[in-house]
Amino acid sequence: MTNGFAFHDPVFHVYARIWLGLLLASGAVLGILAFVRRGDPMVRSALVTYRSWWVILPLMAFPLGLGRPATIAGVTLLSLACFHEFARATGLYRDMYFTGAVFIAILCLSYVAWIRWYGMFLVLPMYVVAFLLILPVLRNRTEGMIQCAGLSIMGFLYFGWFLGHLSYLTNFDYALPYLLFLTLAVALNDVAAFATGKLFGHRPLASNVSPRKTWGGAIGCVIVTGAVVWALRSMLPRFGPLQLVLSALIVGVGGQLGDLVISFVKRDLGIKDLGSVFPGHGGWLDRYDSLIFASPLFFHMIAFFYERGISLSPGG
Amino acid sequence: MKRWTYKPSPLLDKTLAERLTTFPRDPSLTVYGLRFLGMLFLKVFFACYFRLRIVGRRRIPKSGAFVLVANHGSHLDAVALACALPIRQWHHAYAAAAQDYFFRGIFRSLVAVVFTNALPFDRRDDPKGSLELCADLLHVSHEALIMFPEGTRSPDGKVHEFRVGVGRLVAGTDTPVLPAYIDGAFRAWPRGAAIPRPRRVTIAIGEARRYLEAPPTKVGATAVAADLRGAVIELEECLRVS
Repeated sequence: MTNGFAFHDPVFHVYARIWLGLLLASGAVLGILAFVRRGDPMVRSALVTYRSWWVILPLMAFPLGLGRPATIAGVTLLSLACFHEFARATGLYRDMYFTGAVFIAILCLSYVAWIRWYGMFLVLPMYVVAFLLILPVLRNRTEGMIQCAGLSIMGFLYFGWFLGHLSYLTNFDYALPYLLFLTLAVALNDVAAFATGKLFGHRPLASNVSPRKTWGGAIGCVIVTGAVVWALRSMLPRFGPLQLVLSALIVGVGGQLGDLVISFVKRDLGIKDLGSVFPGHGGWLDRYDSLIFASPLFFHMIAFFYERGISLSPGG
Repeated sequence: MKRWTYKPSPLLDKTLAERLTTFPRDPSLTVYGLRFLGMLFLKVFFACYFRLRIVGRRRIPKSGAFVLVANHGSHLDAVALACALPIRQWHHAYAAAAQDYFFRGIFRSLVAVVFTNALPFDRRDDPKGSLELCADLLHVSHEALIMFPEGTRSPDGKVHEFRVGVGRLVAGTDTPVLPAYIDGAFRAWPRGAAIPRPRRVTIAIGEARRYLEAPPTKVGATAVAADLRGAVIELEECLRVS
């Protein structure tokens, strides 16, 4: 991915058209539904969710169009927003030392991605975990420190490091098509998971974690995502059938697992939504839960097949 | 195994605008960072543009609860007083700000919260509730409070009557109250002026006063307010003489 603008890139144009087409088409369907089934609360809530997509999509697409620095900055802000929400939900935000340390660690990770230091990108979590564990020692405090350190480690690894793979992906060849594909496929996977969950299946997938998720819905979602990946195959450079199947599984299965991970966090905390940034969706984590899980899997799939010669040194 | 107990933020499902106007606010690292950078900039700006001079800075307690009471002639007052505080107190000193003015709209709220750590004071509908918030801040959280007991900006630059709220807050308590006189802010940016003019601004901070003996009644509170006004006027005269 280049440091310059990518708005002129033909791949960007194609994805922009797909996004716009999908938004307009779903808007038309929802408009007809709203007209036919006036006053239906489900249609009303769907309209609220739909409106938020008009904000979410430009938020994702614009940094990608602005080029590599803006993409890394966008991913960093997303990581910080997700961790901030997690910290507020768990109560970790009251401890400024731990939240501050994780904030700085996320910024360091983005810097490492910016200077293309793959070795440090892989090793940084070790240093961060070590620092978070010695923080109570430095402060000479013990009470509640296991919880604070544990939550901070989870926060950094899951929201910082997992999402940070998107930043590092910008250094790979054909990063723009891959990132555009991933964001579109994950978003469509979320919509498919919602739709198939409503339509198919009775056997619960993980009844305590998310009562509405069913096996039928999950399998249906993977099939729909598989079809989406197949439809987008011409815009995925270098990908053969094996990589397409793996991508479909990563997005389809990984996306739903990411959703379930945040569901168990919310259930344990006893809260419904982690925020209210996007009406109809919830907070940042409610919206980007699937992307967090799918990002590192997708990254390492590409790294395994196409970036084996990647140098561990800075600038590699 | 000991179970972990979580204390999610009570403002989790609130929008940013609602979170800014609710008090006590969630501690936010983002706001802390912005305040730190913003105040650093303002400190330099005030030193250069208004040639800010602070007399009696050493009288400000290094920690714990205290009330800083000053005359109010300009929007510059709260920021000027915040500049007088040591850096470590920027996040622990709250300026009581009119809710109907400073918390109208998300942009104003954000500026008030980031730069002056504003506490929304509902002077019209619920002044008693707001005073209780201030009392909790001082006596429970042991934080500092910046107050302008005139209640609004002076139209002529003179020190007008102090309202009894400040008296109610400190009468019968051991909380130190520091009178302060801000000179020049009114000339620099009076009510109605669009842009601040480069005039010299001086802040004089007086000795801390305590009102443990004052009865916590209306009469006691009025006497405390009058005494504080007298202290502020005294500082004004001291500045004029010097």
